[in-house]
Amino acid sequence: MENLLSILQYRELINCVKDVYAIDLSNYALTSLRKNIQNVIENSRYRKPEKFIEMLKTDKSLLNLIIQNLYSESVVMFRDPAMWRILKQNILPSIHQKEEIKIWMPEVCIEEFYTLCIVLKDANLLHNSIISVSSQSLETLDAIRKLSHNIKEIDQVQANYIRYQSQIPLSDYLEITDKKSNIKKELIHKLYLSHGDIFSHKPSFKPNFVLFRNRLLSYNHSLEQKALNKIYESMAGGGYFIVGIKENIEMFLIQDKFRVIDKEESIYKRLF
Amino acid sequence: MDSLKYIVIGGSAGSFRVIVKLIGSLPENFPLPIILCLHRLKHVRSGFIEALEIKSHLKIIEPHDKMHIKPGQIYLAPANYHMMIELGNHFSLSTYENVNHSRPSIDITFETAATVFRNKMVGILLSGANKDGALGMKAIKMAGGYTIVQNPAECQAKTMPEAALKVAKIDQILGANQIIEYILKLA
Repeated sequence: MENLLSILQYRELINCVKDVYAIDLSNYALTSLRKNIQNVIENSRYRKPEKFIEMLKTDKSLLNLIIQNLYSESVVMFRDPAMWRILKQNILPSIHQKEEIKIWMPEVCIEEFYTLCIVLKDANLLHNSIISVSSQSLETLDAIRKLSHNIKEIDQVQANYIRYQSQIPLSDYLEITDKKSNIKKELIHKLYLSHGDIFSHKPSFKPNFVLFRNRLLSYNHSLEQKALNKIYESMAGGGYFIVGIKENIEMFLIQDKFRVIDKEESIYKRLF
Repeated sequence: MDSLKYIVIGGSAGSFRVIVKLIGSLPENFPLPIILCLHRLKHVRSGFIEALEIKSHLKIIEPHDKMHIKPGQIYLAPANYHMMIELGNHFSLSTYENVNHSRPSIDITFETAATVFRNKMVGILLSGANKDGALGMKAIKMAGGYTIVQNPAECQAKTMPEAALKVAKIDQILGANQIIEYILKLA
């Protein structure tokens, strides 16, 4: 408890990041980001907030740690299996009936990306799709490029996959050794990687499907609205948009720009 | 006691029947918000609230992210999300890693509630088989809040309240019926 990052120290750290690196984190959800940064400090070589903040001014590797932890990366593959099942059975085929599936995953979560690749393959639509992912973390992009991310909690993944109800065994999609679990290389088809946040980056195509689950949780109200507006403006009319099941886009003014497709799984359609 | 405005309750194995009895005892016009963080199965989204509400006059809400905390409402941490209290009196949800093998974690709800509610809250820790919530009770105490644990002697699993008693100077140790009486008197 002695090394807890106080709110004053948190604000000092945020100001430091803005002043030294010109990155504004002040509109991220305070409690969530403070907790993530607390965790970063505890696992760093400095351990105490005062020392960490002092060294942050000159040590860019500490900034990279913060950026890597802006969003929770603790999501297990096939989280909310019902949503992925609806995606495979209804949403993706619906898009494919008219055109190529063009997917954007801003602030990408690696395990959600892996899940998406498997679902596309499972739906026989992998070769009818392109995916653009972006992240502020170079480490995340590198892990995707090299497929070096080790899949977490494989037992939980197996349990989720059973609830997803595929005919194909999960082992057909994964390479599992004693030391590592990863998706097979052939599950990566047309993939574009970009470095940057959702506000500075846009895919080179107009996506007809945006997957942005449990990312709005990391924003305050103001940044959330900005992100939703950005997504709306970037999307093709009639495109699908999925957020986390406990994220609510209805509170905001743009609700008249989307239609609810599945309230329980937070699936929306962008109106024309 | 008049200054207490928020009731935050954590529990795990053995706490279900206490919560059902508590909620069943509350009058329709109970004025304070009650925030529940109960360990639950990650993949089960429906049925739990219905089971808790079975004798209740009041509805239980699983909050969305950023939902405001209102008087007289009962809130339950959603499955597979941590539920935090944010400055500005609203909920903030997270998919952060398990804490004490749990998501939702009682420690996370209690610690963030302590930061925001400070001496206006009572934290109550019920029966449970791990130590989640113990450090959260310490945080509540340090922030000036009031703390109660369920009497370990009557708990189905006493690890949780005993862990809290080891790390914090808990204000009261009460049986389930006494906890319910205490809460009713807060109105």
